[in-house]
Amino acid sequence: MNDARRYQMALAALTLATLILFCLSLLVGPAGIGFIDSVSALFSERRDAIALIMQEIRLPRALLGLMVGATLGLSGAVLQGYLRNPLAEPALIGVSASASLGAVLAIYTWLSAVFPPALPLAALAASVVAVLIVQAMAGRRGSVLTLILAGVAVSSFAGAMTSLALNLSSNPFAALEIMFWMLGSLTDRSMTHVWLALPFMLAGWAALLTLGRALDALTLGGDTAASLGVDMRRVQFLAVFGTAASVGAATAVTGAIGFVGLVVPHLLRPLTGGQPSRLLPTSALGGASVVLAADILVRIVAPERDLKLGVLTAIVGAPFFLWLVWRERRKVA
Amino acid sequence: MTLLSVSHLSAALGGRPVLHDISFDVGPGELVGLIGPNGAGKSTLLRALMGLTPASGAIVLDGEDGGDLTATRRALKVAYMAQSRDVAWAMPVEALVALGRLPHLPRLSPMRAADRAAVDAAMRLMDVEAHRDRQATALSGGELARVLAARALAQETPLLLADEPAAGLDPSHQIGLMQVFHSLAQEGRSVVVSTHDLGLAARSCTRLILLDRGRVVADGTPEAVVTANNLKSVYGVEAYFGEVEGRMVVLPLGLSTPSSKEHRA
Repeated sequence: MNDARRYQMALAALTLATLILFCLSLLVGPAGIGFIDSVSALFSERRDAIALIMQEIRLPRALLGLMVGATLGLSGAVLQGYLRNPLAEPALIGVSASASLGAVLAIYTWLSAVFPPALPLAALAASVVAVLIVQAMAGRRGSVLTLILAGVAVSSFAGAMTSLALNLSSNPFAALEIMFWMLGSLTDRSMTHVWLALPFMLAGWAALLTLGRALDALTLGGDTAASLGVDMRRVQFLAVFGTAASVGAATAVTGAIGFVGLVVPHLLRPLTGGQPSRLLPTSALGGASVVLAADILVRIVAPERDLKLGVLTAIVGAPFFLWLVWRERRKVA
Repeated sequence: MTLLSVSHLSAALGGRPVLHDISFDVGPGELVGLIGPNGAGKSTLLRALMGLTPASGAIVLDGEDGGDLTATRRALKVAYMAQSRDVAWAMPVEALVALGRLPHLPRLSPMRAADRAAVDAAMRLMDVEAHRDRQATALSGGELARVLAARALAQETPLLLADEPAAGLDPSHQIGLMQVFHSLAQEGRSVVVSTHDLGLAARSCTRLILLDRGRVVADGTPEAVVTANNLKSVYGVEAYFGEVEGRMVVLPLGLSTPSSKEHRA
């Protein structure tokens, strides 16, 4: 069958692209280490400079790029499917803004300077609070509209509190650190960050990946999905908590990286025959590819200036999204 | 024996009572037409039977209490065609019809031979095989309606509830759809369809239930339900009644006189 074939090709191509970009991410950096040296250093027992760079700097960076990208792509695909709207994105339910607020508070109170893991931990705690509020607001009957409105309210409040922290920050260095952190980056992350984020992401992915068939049924609307045996309350719970756990953890370790969760599912949907269940793995791989590629680009484009990943994804992502919208518009007209 | 038993069903939407104390049974072999004016409660009744709208009273589906059924058990007993024909994504017709097999598929299992056969049979019955690879969002309204009907048929349930499935179909496909429902009934299944087409309902259904302002005002054979009196008091219309080849023909002609409308108010 033509459709299934194209999907398998897309899946294979994206897997290959992700693998290649992951390896490239390990090889690109200011230290300029040769290919053979890098690979052998990655697995070496020695504690020389090259081994340190590979194991302590580049490996966590590449791993986080992979994990964060997959998280953004997967949760974007799930939320678009659940809300039946191609404009949905992970930030919609308020988790990203709240995780940012938690991190900002950790910087603002100097907690993160005294105890570095306090930053991601505070971000995670804030995203847990946010998701509990959103889920409680949406209630047991689980109206989609209430969920979105609650998400918007929580996002706005978290954004305002972040601004307040910046506003009241007595120290310009703290303000600068907050600003830089919020731009989103994979630079100078350690394996601690990887181990901190991984359990939350794995739990989130597991929840999100079970939703494929339910999201397929939701193509025909909530009532028809329910009549096909889909438990809509369970779907909402898994979509919200899966997104919260994985995106909360992603934001906690890297800051906000925009547009990936919105553009990637949108871009890959035509390759999946419009079937949300197929979009989940495709979009996860696509998100990983995009974030890894963007993180390689920031190192190549401006090696000295520490260009932030979130800035690049928005600069490239927004015009690209406009182009997608333009193309769709012409198709409709 | 009954496939669907409703007793003392009442429901409210936004605090306003919509259904009042509705009771009826549907047995195998029945093709029941649910008729009534706009706002009579036809869609709410079908939604309440599916557990999509909270309602008081008892609903028994194929021998099991509707309230105790898990979502999947219910989906194996009753298929539902919603009035809305909104399709969110550009999915090929075949994949859309295959959604009807979801309740039959074990977790993580792909479609099996029996599932494919059911999907093919449903597409053949609804005359949409030729559109198999087309995207559902690019179909005409009537084509999409038939694809959605095929989706419900692929579910292969003993009971089918359809909310205005014939709306927007051309005459040949309207008749075709009702013939398919009729043959389902003859296999021993039950079908309940809501419709505004009184002529189609009177011609095709074995039984009609007339709803008005949330109450059952008539329940019986088409001849017993679609009477000049009922049409005047419930719809406020005068109609032509006739008979072709032993089957009833009814055609609304015009609004009835103001005096009968007063009676309605």
